[in-house]
Amino acid sequence: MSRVVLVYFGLYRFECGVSMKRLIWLWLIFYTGSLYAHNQLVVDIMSSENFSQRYAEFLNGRSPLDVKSFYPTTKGSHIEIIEMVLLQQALFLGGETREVVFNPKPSVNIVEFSDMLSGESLILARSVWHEDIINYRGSLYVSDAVVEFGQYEAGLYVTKRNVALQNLPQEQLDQLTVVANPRWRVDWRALINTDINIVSFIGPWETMLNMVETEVVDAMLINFSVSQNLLLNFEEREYVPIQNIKMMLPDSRHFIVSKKHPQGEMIFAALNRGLKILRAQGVIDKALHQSGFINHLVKDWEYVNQQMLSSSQVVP
Amino acid sequence: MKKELLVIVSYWLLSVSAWANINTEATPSQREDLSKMLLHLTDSLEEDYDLNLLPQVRVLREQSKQLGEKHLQARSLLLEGLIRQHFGDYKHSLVLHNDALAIAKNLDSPVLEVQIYLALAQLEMDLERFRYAQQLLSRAYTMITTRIDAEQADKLMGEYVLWQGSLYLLKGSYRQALATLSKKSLSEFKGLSSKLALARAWAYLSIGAYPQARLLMNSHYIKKAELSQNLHLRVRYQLMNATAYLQAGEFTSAIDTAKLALNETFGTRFLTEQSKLQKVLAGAYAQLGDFEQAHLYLKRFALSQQALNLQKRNNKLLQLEAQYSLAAQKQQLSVLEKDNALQAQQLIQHQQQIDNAHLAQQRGVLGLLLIALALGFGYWRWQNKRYLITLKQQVAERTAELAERNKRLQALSFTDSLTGLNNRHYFFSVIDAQIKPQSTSQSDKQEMIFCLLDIDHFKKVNDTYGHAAGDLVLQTVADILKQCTREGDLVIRWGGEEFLIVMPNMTHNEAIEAVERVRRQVECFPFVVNEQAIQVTCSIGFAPYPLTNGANKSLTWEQVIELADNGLYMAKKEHRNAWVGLHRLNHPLNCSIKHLSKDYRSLINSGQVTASVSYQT
Repeated sequence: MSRVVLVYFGLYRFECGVSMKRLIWLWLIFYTGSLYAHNQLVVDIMSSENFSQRYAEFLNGRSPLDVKSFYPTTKGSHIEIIEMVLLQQALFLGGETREVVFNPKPSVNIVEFSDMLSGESLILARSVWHEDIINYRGSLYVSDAVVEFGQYEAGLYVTKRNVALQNLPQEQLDQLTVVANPRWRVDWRALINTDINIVSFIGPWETMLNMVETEVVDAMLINFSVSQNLLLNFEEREYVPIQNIKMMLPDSRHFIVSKKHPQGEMIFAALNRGLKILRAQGVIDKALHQSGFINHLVKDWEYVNQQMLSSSQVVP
Repeated sequence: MKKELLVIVSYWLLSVSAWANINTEATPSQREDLSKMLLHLTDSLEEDYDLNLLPQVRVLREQSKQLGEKHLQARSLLLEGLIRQHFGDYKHSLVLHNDALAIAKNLDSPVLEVQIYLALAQLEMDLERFRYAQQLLSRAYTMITTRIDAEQADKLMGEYVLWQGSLYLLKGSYRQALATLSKKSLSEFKGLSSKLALARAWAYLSIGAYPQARLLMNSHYIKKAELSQNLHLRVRYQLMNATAYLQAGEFTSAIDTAKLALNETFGTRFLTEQSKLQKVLAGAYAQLGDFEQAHLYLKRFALSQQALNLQKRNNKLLQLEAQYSLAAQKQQLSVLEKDNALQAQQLIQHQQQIDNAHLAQQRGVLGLLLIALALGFGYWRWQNKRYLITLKQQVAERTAELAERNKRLQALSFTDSLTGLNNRHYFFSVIDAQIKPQSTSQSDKQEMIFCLLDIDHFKKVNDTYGHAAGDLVLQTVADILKQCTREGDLVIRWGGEEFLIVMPNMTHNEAIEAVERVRRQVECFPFVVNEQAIQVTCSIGFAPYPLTNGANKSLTWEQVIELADNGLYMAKKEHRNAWVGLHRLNHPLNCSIKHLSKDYRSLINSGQVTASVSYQT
């Protein structure tokens, strides 16, 4: 049913058409039959990062390709859903027109991304930190950055009742204690390059938040909430970021595609092509801004780890 | 083997020379020897932190200490500290570095100081105490740029850049590391170019920029000779090569290189590099699809990591223990301080209490003293007053007594002791006062009568009955006179048996009555002498006052008394037991008053004098 609509829609656009996108639609119509046997593209989701429900809520019956406005409609962090949408739009723009099917997969493996390395998985729904895959680039295609170096910002969230801490000046950060998971290497690196005291904790995110709640620690590094006033509401408890202070997570995020997978090369080509188009059209930027990932409320806030942004003119 | 032998021999030689040189002054040649030795040791250390160098370092330290070569002593301390810290003895190396630092500061040797700061920064990095490491590096940087001349500064700056870059790498601030390590061209740092190039390559690899890393590793900045000499450097170089192969997807080359390097690390202490190589191997095998090998190396990697973690954990534990003991010490100290403060406070309070007690005592004593004084004074005043009162009383008493006596004396002097009547003295003292009112107020109407009385034949009584009888008669006559006169009349014992009676405000006739009454009373009074009744009579003469002698010439009272006496004389002469009273003088008297006594009778008869008599002639 949806396919019919899609085709019709495509024809309509073709008649009026000028853009590359319409040519792709045309290509889609002609090749529908030949690709029918492989008419689904399976994108793996690590089950620990399964946001399908919120993703469905966000789409609310729409096709991800139709999403033009990325303003958040669900609670919590929004980037995961935006990435799933952008991935599909990029693939489509890059020429991969098959329907995307998300496949949650347990991620218990000795070697990280082992399914991707072996070619069992083709592509992941979420972007990954660049530093997590630098040693696997022989086996993985790494897309252009979805989130570029320096774009990822997070706040130091404290309990809402802790008014004194909310206005902690940057000079007094050495008095602050933050809980962090050393396995989240980018967060960890960001934190150890400041004067902030860190309590190392490996465990569930919720427990960490509870540590803030019970004042075992003062704060926790969390993506800025998309709600008004940046307020984070979790299980009826409210948290707010320390005002005028933000942290840059010092890495870029990329989609990865398996080199071993037979379709890897093709999919990666489509993906990267599509991403370039989206970037050129300003869709990625728009998505990051509208979704609140790059939060306009903290635009003028100061970086705590500004020095990590440093780019160098390398002298031989 | 040969090297070890050389070390032992040189150690022995140095020990002997050290023994020989005890308590001797440093000669230039000795100093030169020591400097050479230091240079040799520093060079050896560049290659590797060999434990066998330690005895030599210690000999150097002892000798330089004995010879007073402070600079060399500090350098040797630094060397030993560096060796120890590479073998994990952080505690002692910290002590050694700090000792060296103290000497360097005393010597004012900024170069040495910077070297020590850099060594300390490395130590802090080993302990993952990045904040302190950064502080030390910043201190070193400040000294290099401000206090050290350009020539020496270059080499130190190279070292600084190397360690600052390494710190950024350790902290995961890769771009910052790269920026720091790329600030200057590598050709500027001759001795350090290999190490710097490797650090920079590692920074590139950390951000996945393997082509740039490869370029650096294949460049001339990395000295092959250095690599062949320094095992640690060589292993790191191979590790980076292997990593670059891995990142480039050249798995077989990565495996070959990594295995080669891993072989070199067996029997060494380069655990970090070992674990990284094992991880590279695991990654390469996994990506080649050889999961068995990958698993094997992952297990080895896990073991190495475990060992590393154990090391880290111990270090952290030591730190924690140190922190804890420091905190405990501080706590104890603060408790002690509080205790001291409390004791001091108590002491002060005590002192204050004692002072207060003293003060109170003093006050009390003073108060008591004052009270005693006041009481004493009061008592004295009271006594004084009492004494005064007594005195006053006595004085008053005496005065009263005296007055009484005077009065009595006066009374005595004015009184006749026999009759109790006033005497002549008394009469003279009062007569003037008696006369004045008489003369002024009642002169016209009434006169004052001066009356003289004499007892008839008194001598006969005395002679017949004795003086006692005479006295009795006198007393009785006096009593009769008192009874027959008025209160205001004066009755005076005039002398012998003669009495004077002064009767104011009395007419001549009244006088006649009064005198007659007296005469009769005496005549009639039953005198009893020696139980025998006797007859006693008296004669009286009287005259009035004032009395004018003719032409308003007043007579004095003395003259009047004389006139009365004349009358008495006449009464005695002519009658006895009779009276003669002068009434007035009709003519001025030509003769004197004394003369009258003879001629009284004739004057009466001639009418010159008017007088009354009680008898008939």
